[in-house]
Amino acid sequence: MVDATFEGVPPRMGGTDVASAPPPGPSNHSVDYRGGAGQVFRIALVNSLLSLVTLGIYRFWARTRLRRYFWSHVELDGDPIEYTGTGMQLFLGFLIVLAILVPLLFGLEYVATLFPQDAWEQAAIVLVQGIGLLFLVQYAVFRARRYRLRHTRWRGIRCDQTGSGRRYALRAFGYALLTFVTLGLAYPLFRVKTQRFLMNNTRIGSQAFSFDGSARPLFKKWLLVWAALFVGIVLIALSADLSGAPFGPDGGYRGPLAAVPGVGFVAAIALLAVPLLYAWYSARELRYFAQVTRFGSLGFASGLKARQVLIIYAIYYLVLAVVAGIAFLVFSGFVAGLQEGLMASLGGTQEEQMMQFQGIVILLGFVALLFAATLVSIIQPVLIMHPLARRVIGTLSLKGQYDMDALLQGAKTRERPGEGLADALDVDVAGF
Amino acid sequence: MRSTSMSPDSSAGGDCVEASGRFNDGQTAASRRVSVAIVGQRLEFQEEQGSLRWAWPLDELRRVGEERRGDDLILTYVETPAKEQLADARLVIHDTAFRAALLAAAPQLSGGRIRRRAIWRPAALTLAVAAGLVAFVLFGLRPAAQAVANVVPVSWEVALGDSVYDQVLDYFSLFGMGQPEACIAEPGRQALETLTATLAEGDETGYPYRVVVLDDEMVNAFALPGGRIVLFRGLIDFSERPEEVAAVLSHEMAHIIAQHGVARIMEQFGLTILLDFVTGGGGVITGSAAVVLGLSYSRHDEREADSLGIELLNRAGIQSDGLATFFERFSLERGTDEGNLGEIGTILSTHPADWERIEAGRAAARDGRPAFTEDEWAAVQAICDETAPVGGE
Ligand SMILES: [Zn+2]
Repeated sequence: MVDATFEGVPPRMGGTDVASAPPPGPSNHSVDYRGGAGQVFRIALVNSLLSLVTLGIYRFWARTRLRRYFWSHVELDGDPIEYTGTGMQLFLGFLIVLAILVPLLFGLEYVATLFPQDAWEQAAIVLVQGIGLLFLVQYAVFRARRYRLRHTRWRGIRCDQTGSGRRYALRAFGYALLTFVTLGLAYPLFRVKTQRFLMNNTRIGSQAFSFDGSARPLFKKWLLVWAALFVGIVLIALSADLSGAPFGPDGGYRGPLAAVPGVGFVAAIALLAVPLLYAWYSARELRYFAQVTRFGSLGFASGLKARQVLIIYAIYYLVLAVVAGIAFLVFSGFVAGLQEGLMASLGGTQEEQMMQFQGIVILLGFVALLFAATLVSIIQPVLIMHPLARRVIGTLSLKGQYDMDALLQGAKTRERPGEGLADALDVDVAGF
Repeated sequence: MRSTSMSPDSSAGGDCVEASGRFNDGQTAASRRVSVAIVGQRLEFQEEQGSLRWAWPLDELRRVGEERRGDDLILTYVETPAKEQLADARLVIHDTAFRAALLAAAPQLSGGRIRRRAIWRPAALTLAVAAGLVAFVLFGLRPAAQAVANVVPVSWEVALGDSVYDQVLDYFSLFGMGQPEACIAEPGRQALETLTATLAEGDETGYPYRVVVLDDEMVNAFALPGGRIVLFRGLIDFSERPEEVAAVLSHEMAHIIAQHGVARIMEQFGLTILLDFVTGGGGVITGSAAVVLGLSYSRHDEREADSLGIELLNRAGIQSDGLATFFERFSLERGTDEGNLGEIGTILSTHPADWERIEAGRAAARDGRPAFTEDEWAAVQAICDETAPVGGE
């Protein structure tokens, strides 16, 4: 039943493209995404309006509904995967974290005011907080991913993520710190090491994925992104001319290259290239990750192109800019009209009018922010999540054969609240 | 119609509809082709190539993938401890006619119904939670913050007040007003200290009051937690009688005694954290919400400080009509006053001088001795003849 050619092939080490290439030959397995933008929009619209009127508390059910939609339109061999998580579990997870974090934050605030700090001590505290947060974020990523996998089924077979969250967090934290210390150079290493831990602990039923990648093939590509960023920042620093600025040290800062023409232009080009290069790197990374990932006798291949990803983000930001621009014009016109019309009709002294006007502007600003947040939560699923899923899954193909009779049901895990920490820390996996 | 004798009473359910489907038993990921039929109150299906057969009661069917478009139907068994494994099984039927027949026989499988329930139940729940939250913020947060303020030790209030004091001074520089100097002419300081001590006798909370006059033309004053009181020279210049300065001073002491500052800080902090986490939104949104709510709370504090301040004056036997006359003149002349009045006051403690306050102040006022002797009053008015950088006072 299992194709004899692929049975018992030991995982080949080394990161070169040839050694880990998927087995050749046609596959009778397929993976497809069949979602529709219109339906995603309708769900996102209802979700956003309900989240708005419930002060955002509905978001756990909103998230659940979107996941149910996206999951159920991803088909493996013609059968959809299934999301079994519930909004209530996410809400409870949130409440648990709330019950721990709020007293903790109050306590920290209390302790902080007991000991007056000078500027250095404050900086040290911020650093320690940042480091603690970096660790917590890794932990939250793992737990959130685990919740999602444990609430994913295919043909009734449960998915799972094994491994210890604390060990993952420690490892990811270490590589994140290394990336930080090397000014970003070690980023591919962070990506590969975390992906390895996550994928090797990802299971569908009885079968675990295996990831056999190394950072070496990614370094050269990453170096391009990094160099553009580095050159841009260094040139900006060298050519900056703040001698006329009202702030800063006496006389202002003036870079040694400030007088050289064209340096600023080169710096701008370099910085503008960074997002493009990053998209290119991310697409290449995904292709490489697909190549070195296996699911038993199955291999993967991705043909994702950077421009496919770039177009998605370009459209998203364009739509966002247009809608936000229109909203801004309406808003500022409204405020101007208010200033003229309302000031006259308000009673009281000039100062009281001023205060009332300020209050109204603050209130309007609040409304504008809510509008912006709602707008993003409506168009993000439609213009990012949906097309991204379509592109990433559409360019993914499976290689080799797998005997589904041999794919057994996985162990049952206890139902428990989830993702509270990820919610509190705003950890998001591509919006899903 | 298949000729198997699946059920002897197939006529009971009316027409026997059937279709073909795929069945996953929940033990492996293998798919079996099955033929499915509604027989009475049961859904019966059996392998097309093989002999296994199943019969699931219609009312124990559950639908999954209800968000899925298209006309396939994915069914499983309602999960119960006794039939745990059945809940892992999946039956996929792709047949429009059969789907319609099954939905008619088992309406709980209607995707629209499942989706609506999945929306409106949590919507009602979260709306109720949100309403409760709003009610708490409007009515419960203030008492809760006050209760917390009541139990914090005085030493903490003092530390808090000192750190806010530093921030306030920075705030001056930030707004380009330049850091004002402290007024340190000794006789004037002495007079203020004596008055403060006299007023403090009527209060058993025992805060270490520290009054400082800052050399700025602003007609304002504010109090910080733990006993710090700041008067601006503009306020002393504006006062026509000693009782008016005394009224402002006792009003600010009342803020400290009633712990308005601490309660306010607790409240803002609690509100920010609460809204930040609950809404899951950025700090900007919750920050502005906190400001809006903060503005509306200040009037309550002011009335309380007014009446407690007058009480302090009354207990000390000092003439307490200063507040009314001060605000009366203040609100009459203010329209022509410089516009930057109370930039800080707006943030820390708004002082809306409305007629209600003036009336209340007049009603509570008692006759008594003057707040300062002639000499003391002259000294207070001349307190800014000598100044020093703040912090050196
Ligand atoms: Zn006041």
